[in-house]
Formats: sequence, structure tokens, C-alpha cells
Amino acid sequence: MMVGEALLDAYINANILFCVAFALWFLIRGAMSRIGLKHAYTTQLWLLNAGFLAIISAPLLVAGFGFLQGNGVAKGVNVNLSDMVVSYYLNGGFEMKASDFEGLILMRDKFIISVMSAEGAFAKAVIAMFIVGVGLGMLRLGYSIYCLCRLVADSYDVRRIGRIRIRVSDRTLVPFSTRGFRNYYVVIPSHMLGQHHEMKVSIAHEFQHIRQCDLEWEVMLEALKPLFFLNPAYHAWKRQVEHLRELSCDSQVISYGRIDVRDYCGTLLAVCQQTLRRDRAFYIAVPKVTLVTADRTSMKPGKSLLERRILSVLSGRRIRHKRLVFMTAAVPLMAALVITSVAIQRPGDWSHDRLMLSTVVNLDRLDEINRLSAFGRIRN
Amino acid sequence: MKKKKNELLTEVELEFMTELWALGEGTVRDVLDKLPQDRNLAYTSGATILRILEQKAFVTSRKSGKSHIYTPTLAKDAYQTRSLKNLSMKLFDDTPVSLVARLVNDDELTEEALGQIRALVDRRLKNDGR
Repeated sequence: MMVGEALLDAYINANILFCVAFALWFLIRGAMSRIGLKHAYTTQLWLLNAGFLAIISAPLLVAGFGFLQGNGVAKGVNVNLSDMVVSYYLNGGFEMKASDFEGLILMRDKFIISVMSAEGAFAKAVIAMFIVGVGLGMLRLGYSIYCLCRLVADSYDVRRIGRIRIRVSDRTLVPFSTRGFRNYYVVIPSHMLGQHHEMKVSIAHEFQHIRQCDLEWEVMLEALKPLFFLNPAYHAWKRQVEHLRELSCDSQVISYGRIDVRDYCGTLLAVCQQTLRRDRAFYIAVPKVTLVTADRTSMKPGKSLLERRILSVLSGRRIRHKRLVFMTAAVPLMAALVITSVAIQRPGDWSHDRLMLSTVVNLDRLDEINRLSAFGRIRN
Repeated sequence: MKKKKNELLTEVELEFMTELWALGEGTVRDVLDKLPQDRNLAYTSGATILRILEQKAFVTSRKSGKSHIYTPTLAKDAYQTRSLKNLSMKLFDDTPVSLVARLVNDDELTEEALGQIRALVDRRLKNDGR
């Protein structure tokens, strides 16, 4: 397989995996809600991050599985989805014309070959759309990073704690944190200097994001966003991470007991009110993790994220044995993702069932030819 | 310390600068003592605000014993001019006449104040005519 084909194949697999992983995540979240773990936000965030890691390392997992099979481990095991469907079809699992079924099975191969050779209007349109989409996404990301760098550079150094730099800015209305190659930056709006409680809450909240490694995950999610711009599962995944990291951060900060719940909720409301003001450069700047943002885009009726956060903080629920719960849910999720990663690969060679299918298709074609007269008329 | 160019003061910075203009110069404690009792600002917050003002080049500092003494580098009237120019540019489409018109049309302006404004304008015109 050529490098280009291999990359396109891996890209298609990653898109499929995001869809599958998001569906699995939904099932797991539903199950957790049913058994009273609805508020296990930290565990849910860990699960999403673990799932993300499994998806982006899927090519390595597949290579590892191939290596193990090559060395005699689970040699007879074939979990290739395409092969399984062919086998099911040949065993009479479902009715379909053999040539149509073969067309369906080879659809992905044909798509990859047609895109790589750029033949036909459809392939050209797909290539153009992808290049424009990714290009625009990269430009947007570049501009966002530039805005963020300027925002941080224009702020004023207040304090340094190890690799963390606390800065004050006139240009932002909402506290946020971000990171460079080496240092972390916690940026506080200058109006907060006169509001002791708000400042304390904001710093504690942003420090917790740094502790949770939320910035690293945000950098990764933002960096890959231009590549998966067409995948709704990716956007939904990112949104879930954004919501869960805030809910998790809130519960962790409150659990330390150093901040009053009333002060915390008051700060969330005050900062949210500030975000309702126009602050275009701030909205554009990524990757960053903010204390709170007003969700203007949400069209869904029901609780907003801010309302959920405040209710969650007020309820003060603590989940015990987070790691145990995480492992219990992560093991089946990871197993399902690894199996799916292997299952959705293009079959490496012609299996016995594929040869059979090809034979059936050829026999069908011969039969069709036999049914036609030499002058193109149907004999019977 | 790296100086950053910033034209305008934020609300809390203006509060500090106002006190510093009134004092002429002072330490963090001097400025905090001048603020209203209910302001309840921590010493560290006050020190941070003055340090930012120094980075913005609105004040300079010199060490005296254990504390720093801050001195404004920009006079209050110079800042007032800068602030008005900014207001005129942003809110009055860069036409100072609109700004003055809005001010003069204010019903709360007394006749005495209007007279003073007229005297100021007359004096300026007389000076420019020389």
C-alpha cells in the first residue's frame, strides 16, 4: 500500500473510531447515570481522555496486534469486520445480489483509489473540499494562537510559582489559563485585582485545570480540530470534554475545602456576566481553558452548563473510589476500541471467503452473459 | 523592568493614580490608607496594582528602606487630556465638537458652569488669535 493510501486509510479509520467511541461513551455515561454515578465527572473526563488517546494511537495498537499475530499469538483469530460480513453473507445470513454486495464491500477501496488517483469529478470535489476545510481550519488555528500569544504578551507579570506565571490583563474579562512550550500562564482580568474573593477562586480554578492536565488535552483537541472538521462526533466529543473538565474542576476545587461555596458560585456568576460583553479577540484565542463562558450558541432547552455547574457545586456530592470506577469502565471501553480498530482495517489479502465471493460474482456474471443472446436479446 | 505602552488606566488603576496624584508620591501603604474604609483591599493586591502601573510607565519607584516609594510620571491633567481624546475618538466619531455639544446640552449644567466654559473658550480663542 502506498504511503498516501495508508494515510487516507488511517484517517478514515480515525473518523470511524471517533463515531464508534462517542456512541460507546454515550452508552457508558447512560449506564453510569443509572447506577448513581452521574456526578462522577472526574472519572467521566478520564474515560473520555483515555478514549481519545486510544483513538489517536489506534495505528500503533493495530500494528501491535499484527505483530503479536505474526509471532504466533492469537494467530487464528480474525476480527476483520469486512471478512466477518463476507462470511456471514456466504453462510446465507442475508439476501443480496452478489455483485451489489461485492460493490458495497469494495466501496471503501474504490473510494481510496479514486481519491488518491484524483480521477473523476467526485474525487476532485472531495479533495478540494478537504484541502479548503483543513486549510481554513489551520488558518483559524494559527490566527487564534497569534491572538492568544498577544493577549498573554500584553499582560503583566504578577507572580511566578515554578513553571506557572500568574499574569494580569486589561484585555480580558474572563480568567483563563494556557501554556507555552515550557511555562503555564494563568491570566486574570485586571478588574479582579480589587475583588479578593474572585481572584482567589479564579486562581484556584485555573491551578486545578493545570493539575488535571486539561491544557495539554485542550492543545491536542484544538490541534486535531482542523483535520476532523467534517466529523460531528469529534465536535461533540470536544464539547463533552469542555463541559466535563469544568464540572470536574469545580468539584475538585470545592473538595479541598479552602474556598467557600458561596464565593465560588458568586464568582462563576460574576464572570459569566462579564463574558456577555463583547470581547472578540478573547473568544478567538485558543487553546486556552477559561473559568466560565456564556453559552450563546446553545439552542437546546434545559439546563445551561453554568446552571449545571452551580447545582453540582451546591449539591457537594463526592464520588468515592474514582480510580476503581474508572478502571471498571475503562477496561471494556478500551477493549471495544482496540477490537474496533482492528476490525475496521482493510483486509490484508484475499481470504478464502473473499475468493468464494469473487467466484460467486463471476458465476453470476457468466449466468447473465449466458442469458443474453449474441444479438443482445434475452433468450427466455 | 520591561515597560509596556498602555494608553489608558483601568478602573482600579485610576483609583490608585487618583490617590497618588493627590499625595504627590507614596508607598503602597500610603495609597491604601487613602482609599475608603469599605474598599478592604489586601496589601499584596495594592502592591500588584502599583507594580503594574510601573510596568505601564504611569509611575516610577525608588527604594526607601524596606518599601518602595511610587511617583506619578504623568500629570493628572495630561491624563485627563489623553482620556478625553480617547473618549472623543471612540464615542464621538473623533469630533470634539460633538463631545462639547453633548456636555453643553446637559440640563444639569448650571448657568455658572456654562459661563465658566464660555470664559475658557474665549480665553483660548484670544490666545490663539495672538
